[in-house]
Amino acid sequence: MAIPQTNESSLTQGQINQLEKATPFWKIIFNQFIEHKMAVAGSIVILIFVIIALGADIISSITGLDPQKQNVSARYLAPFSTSEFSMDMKENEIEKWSEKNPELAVELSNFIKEKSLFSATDGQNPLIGFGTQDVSVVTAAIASENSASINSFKELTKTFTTKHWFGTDEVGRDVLIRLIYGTRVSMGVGVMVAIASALIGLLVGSVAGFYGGRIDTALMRITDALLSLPLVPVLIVLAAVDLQKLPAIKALMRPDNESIVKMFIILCFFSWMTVARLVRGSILSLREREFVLAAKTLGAKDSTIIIKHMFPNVIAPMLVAISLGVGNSILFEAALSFLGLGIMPPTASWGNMLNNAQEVIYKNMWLTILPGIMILLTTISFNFVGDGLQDAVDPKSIRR
Amino acid sequence: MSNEIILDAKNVKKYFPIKKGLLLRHVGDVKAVDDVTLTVRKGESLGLVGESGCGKSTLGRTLIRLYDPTAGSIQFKGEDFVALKGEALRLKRKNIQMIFQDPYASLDPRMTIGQILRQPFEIHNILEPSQRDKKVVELLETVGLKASHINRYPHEFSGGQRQRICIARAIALEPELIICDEPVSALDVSIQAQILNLLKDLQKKFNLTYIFISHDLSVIEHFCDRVAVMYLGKIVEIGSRDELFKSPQHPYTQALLAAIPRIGEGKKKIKKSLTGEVPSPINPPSGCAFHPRCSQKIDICSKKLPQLAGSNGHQKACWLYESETP
Repeated sequence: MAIPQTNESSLTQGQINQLEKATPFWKIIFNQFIEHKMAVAGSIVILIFVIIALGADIISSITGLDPQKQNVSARYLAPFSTSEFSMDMKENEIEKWSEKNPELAVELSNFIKEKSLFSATDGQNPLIGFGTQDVSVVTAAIASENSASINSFKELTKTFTTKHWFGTDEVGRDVLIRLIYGTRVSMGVGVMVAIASALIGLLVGSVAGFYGGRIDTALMRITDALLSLPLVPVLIVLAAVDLQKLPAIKALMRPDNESIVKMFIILCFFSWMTVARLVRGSILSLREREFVLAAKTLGAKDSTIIIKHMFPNVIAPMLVAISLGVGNSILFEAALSFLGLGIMPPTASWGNMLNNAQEVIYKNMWLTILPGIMILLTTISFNFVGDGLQDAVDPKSIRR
Repeated sequence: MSNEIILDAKNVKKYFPIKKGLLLRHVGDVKAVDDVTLTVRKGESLGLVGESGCGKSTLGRTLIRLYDPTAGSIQFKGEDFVALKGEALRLKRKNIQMIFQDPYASLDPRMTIGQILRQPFEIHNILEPSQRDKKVVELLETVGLKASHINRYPHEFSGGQRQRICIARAIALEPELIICDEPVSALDVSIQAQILNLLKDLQKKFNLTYIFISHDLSVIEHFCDRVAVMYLGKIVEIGSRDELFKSPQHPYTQALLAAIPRIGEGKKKIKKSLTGEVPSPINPPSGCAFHPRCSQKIDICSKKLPQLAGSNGHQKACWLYESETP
């Protein structure tokens, strides 16, 4: 074994600077993560869903679809069908149009009379009588004409029909746009619940792990007690609690998001325990790990040890727990909404879409299948991502 | 080796409380280290040897103040080391360092070697940040690694290389005393020799003092100047290596030495082999803790605790020799 006799480094400062740069740890994790094919597929699916959820308003304004807009004349339409406004809806729209453009309306009325496109009965406005016919009839009658009034009217009649790629639900709302808005609610609740409960768990777990003794015993018994509760019945009871009576929470809520805030609070309360146990366990074992002892003998402060050694080693299992937790939260949200206790209509969520569809499960299967597929896809994707992360962040499995 | 005493431990005890039940009632103690008195001279290598669970690692960790001693005093270079607290202890720590048994657990898996070896300087704010990398490279080369290893992670190294990194970290702050807690027991035999030689070379170069904890008698024989034999939290015999290996006096030491397999001795029957298990440190036997397993026990052994006694720096705690030293 040769040991250099001098204490001088054989390298100059310049050479040292040229040494290969350290691969940052996140890059190692990333390289391992992309080896897990299903996890990559899962993250792509999640990414697409996130983009859709964030862009829901843009999609709505481009397509003209409105998740709240009902049309009782077009209930339970099959996928790829086109709906038309009912007579009174058309009448309303035409009246609005005439009020806005009185000259064009008069011009068009005269035009209809001249060409006798519509034989009005007494007292009937020929314009409304003409316009409320089937859209196909109306467009055929004025297709070849070309004037300011007619072109404007053509634009109006176009809005009378809507293409429903995924059909319509029990009150004639478009299923596609409701699924898109549902993505926002369901994934939003899922991700927020997972992150918030991870933070609660981190706090409880690290306090228990650091201080040990009676604090640890007390906190862990509470955790065990909550874990031992049968979740679904408790969630059902809690979902029936009226949070409006609590002033602190009332300030957070607007009437339209009440059920979402409530869902969030209830799910958070019941999903921090796994993370708390995980963090406590990691910190307990880290406290006795030799590299922590070595840092201590070097004279490191407690804060240095926590920030430099404990935190990076706890954050990795926490990331895994968060990604697995998202899938669970989405499932719970869907389950509660399905039971009619979660997100309240008219706000769309995958769970309450399923709830609304249960009466027509045989007749209009797509209403149950579509939200079901969404739930399945997201949950599976998050689980695969969690799985991939777990493999990637485990230092023992690191290979190059 | 000078006669200057660098570490002087008197009557050091380390008990771990056993707590039971919901209210964590104190029901007993694990007496891991029970009344150990020990001096370490500057520049020597003191071996601590004993069976698993005899408290040698706990003693090491207590001497370095990873554990607070339950009782007793530890003086480091004439200064009370037990009374130090907080910031004063933190600053004093750089004079005593430790090398741990498991080289796989003693390096943070999420830090590069450079980050690990820069840490001592960052903690004590030694050297300009720009000079630290140069110093780290020096350290790496001192322990026989390459400068190009600086940006790698611990998982890219073998056990022997990792132990070299741990040694580099331990000598970074130029300590006077290094406690080696079974530094080679997790390594292959060929690597063991390299690491031991490296430790020897560093001792000469930096005038280091070692407390060398091991259960491997041949490693102790190769490495140490003086040897202390521990049994159930107590030192039963302490003396220079040559004397202790040539004429072991405590029956426990005799049994330990007899159990070393020697090449060329054939199937010689081991006469003084140990039988039975190490008793529980929660309720150690009365009198001499070794008496239930001792082949030469006499009446007094189970009644009264023998004290370390003897001349010439060779001391033993055994009633068989009590008459020799009135």
